[in-house]
Amino acid sequence: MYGRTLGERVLDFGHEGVLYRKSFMMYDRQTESLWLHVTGQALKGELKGAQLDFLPVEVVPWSDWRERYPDTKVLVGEKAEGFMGDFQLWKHTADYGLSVGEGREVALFEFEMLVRVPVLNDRGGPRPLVVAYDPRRTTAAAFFARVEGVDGGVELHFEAVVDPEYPSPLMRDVETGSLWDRGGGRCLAGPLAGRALERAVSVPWLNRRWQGFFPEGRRVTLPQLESDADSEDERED
Amino acid sequence: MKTTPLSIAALALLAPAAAAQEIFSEADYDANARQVVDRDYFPVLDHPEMSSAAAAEEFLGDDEPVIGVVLNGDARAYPVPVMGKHELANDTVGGVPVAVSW
Repeated sequence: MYGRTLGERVLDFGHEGVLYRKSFMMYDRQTESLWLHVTGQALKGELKGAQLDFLPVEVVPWSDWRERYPDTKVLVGEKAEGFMGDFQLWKHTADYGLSVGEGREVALFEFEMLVRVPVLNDRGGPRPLVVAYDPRRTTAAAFFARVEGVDGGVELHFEAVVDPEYPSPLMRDVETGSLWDRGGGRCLAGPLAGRALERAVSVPWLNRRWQGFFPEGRRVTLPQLESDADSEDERED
Repeated sequence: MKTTPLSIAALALLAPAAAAQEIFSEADYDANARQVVDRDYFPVLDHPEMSSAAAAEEFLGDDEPVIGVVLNGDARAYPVPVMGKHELANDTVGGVPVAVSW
């Protein structure tokens, strides 16, 4: 999701009907410049080179969203039928990953890996991240692993926690022992209770498609994590 | 002769890497973009009608994915199956003009 404001100008968009590297193109009705929907960048026209602001969204099951935001408004649609009606992201774990980041600064965290490592402290990108997986929903979320205003800002490391008192899967930060909800990034108990982590821009992608689009992007996969572990074993030998 | 398919495969693997620097440039766009349907063949939504959570139960199943966003306390859900038909929506959420794409 993007902001439609560019400086003083508010743009609105139409569908160009063009496929470019498997992504569709948008045009803005004000200047007819052409924009890549995947990166929010103008490739052609008067606004060439301009970049729209990313806005963080979640892709989650309806029941999950309704539970957290009972006052939510919902885009009206018809009851889903046929192909799209059968489409459920969460039944295709092996094919999907969570793409985190903006523009070309992106990393892909494959769901198949997150099933095994449900709370992942990632330090491979420009800012420290925690990528948290919810096995009930087979969805993942990414947050910046830092809280401001505590001793000038504290970087946090998280571990997965199962606590029967809470209905949703949790994580605990090692630094303060506070408990956090994995889907919303809110601190539920402990010294940081009431705080929230800043959500990173993230979208579920088909792994295969992502790799074609971001050949230089960073992929975090299960084999990669396992081979890191293997090489440590070899050193012990 | 058996090496021929391998060479072709190797070339195919090299091609994306060679093209990578050009990706997202206007030149690459001109070379690779294809008009597959007419402009606005997909009916883009403009400030679409919104329902309450209760009314949404009529057309939305528990497990169906939604794109969820909260801006300035305004929470909105865009069902993925609906967005799949339109691909793009111009909306204003919590006073912020946004483009929702899928």
